[in-house]
Amino acid sequence: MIPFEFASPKTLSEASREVDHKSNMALAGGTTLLDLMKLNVLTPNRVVSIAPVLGKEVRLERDTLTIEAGCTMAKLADHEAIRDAFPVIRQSLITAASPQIRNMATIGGNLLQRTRSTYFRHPDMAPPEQSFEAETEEKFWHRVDLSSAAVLGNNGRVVGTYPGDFANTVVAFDGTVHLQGPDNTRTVKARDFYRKPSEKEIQYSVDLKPGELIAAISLPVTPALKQSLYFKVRERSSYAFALASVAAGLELEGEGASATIRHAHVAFGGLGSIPWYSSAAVLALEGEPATDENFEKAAQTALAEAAPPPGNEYRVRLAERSLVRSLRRLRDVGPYTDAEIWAMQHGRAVNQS
Amino acid sequence: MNHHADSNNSAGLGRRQFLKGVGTLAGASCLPTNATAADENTPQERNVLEHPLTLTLRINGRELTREIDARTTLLDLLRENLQLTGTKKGCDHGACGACTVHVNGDRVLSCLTLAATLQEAEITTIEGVSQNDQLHPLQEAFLRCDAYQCGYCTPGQIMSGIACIGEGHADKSAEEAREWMSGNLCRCSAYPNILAAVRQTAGAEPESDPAATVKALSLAEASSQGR
Repeated sequence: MIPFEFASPKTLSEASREVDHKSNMALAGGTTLLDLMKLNVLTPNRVVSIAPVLGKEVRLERDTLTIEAGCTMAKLADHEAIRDAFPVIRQSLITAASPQIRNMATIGGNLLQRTRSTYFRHPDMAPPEQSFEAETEEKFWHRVDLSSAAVLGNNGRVVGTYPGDFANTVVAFDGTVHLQGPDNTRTVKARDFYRKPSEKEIQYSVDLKPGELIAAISLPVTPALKQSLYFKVRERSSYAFALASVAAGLELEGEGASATIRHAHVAFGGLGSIPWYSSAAVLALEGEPATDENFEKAAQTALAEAAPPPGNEYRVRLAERSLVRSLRRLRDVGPYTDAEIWAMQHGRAVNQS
Repeated sequence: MNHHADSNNSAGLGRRQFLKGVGTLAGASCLPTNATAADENTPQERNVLEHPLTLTLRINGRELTREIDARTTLLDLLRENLQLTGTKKGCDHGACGACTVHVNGDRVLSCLTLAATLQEAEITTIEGVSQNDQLHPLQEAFLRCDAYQCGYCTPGQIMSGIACIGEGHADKSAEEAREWMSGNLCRCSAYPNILAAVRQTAGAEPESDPAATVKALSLAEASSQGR
């Protein structure tokens, strides 16, 4: 780590005046920032400690759930308003990272994770304007590790995936990001907050101006948020990023396959250059009967625009099957319980007490 | 018990300090009893501090004030500045859990925690979990279950295990305990024994050495049983 100055502002607006997201960076839980600073990928001159001035409350008021940005992943997952009421929120948090990291990481910081692609976070990585030409050439594709390369939203290029889980829930269920600037506040829909990499970019950017900090996020409380789940497939049982994941919720009218889908919420994780809200899947589902055929059609429609880099074709099929499985589960049984998730992930001892 | 006698023999010296002493004695010199390794490091430490921060916190019940470089992680503060080398540096990037300690009662990764953010915080490390000569029940269980093997991940596993039990994730299903211990990686595959130690301490399993139920079969016995 290169030397830096450490600042401890007293208020959130004071903090926002100090942060420009370039040479003056905000430190909340530190689980991404410290990691990248040790690798010299990020080299701020000044680190502004914002965790003490961020709100940490979770509030459930009428039809809105508000989560202040300083709440940790662990506290949110265990919050009484969340724990049994909104499965997709809890599950997208507790299947992410490790208990230690979830005790540290704040919700605000969690939304802003960088890609885990070792190529795109290497300090010797050429600036995008120089590397862009190479990344469009097919021969380049065979020279780098593509296991963390985006399958959706890559514009035909090799770009890094967004690695997080909780943000997929936020975009699936139409969350809003509340921003605190030096002199004003602003709200942005989470679906607009994340921007796919433009021509000269190698990973996503966010609608966050210099000086702005995430103060809170809010989610509309809908019946589908209660009938929801987060399904995550990874290379080992736990503590790994998703190869493909699904944040899904259904509001049905009727029972079983003859039910009509009133509302559907679908986002994919581990696949997109950004948390991937699938309007295609939602359009294919809403108003239709909840049949297996319609679930499969929605999955294929959702992945129709996938452009997997070489060796990642399997992740398209994995995502389709994950979505179909998630929707069938929600229709036939309902949300997963914690115990079912542990059994599914660690599966060796399903019958063991 | 034998391990108690062993720890008494080293008269409260850490392993590193003890080994250092052995080396010094072999060189026909004498270990000064009042000089700690921390004192030896102090001048060098001061030389690199251009803009030192003053940090006051409590570690294992003792209040400490130190001048630190802003870059100092909690892990480096413990190991390099305070010579509390029980906490281990594994990956130094939050991927292995070897550096797990408790900050204000929660288990966290000390490698990704800037010490400067810990003003007035309460830290517990592996050095602080036993009461005088009385090992923590989970430390006892690790000995009983042979859960340490190479020993490098052990302090992090124990700190994580104590928290896992306190959080209520260790006394239900084995899969739940596995999941909530999954932030701690072990390269010599002591997982079954670590899991047994954690669950036994939580009361989910009777206290016993898991190896006691392992039966080694001869080739003839194995083939007669169709294995």
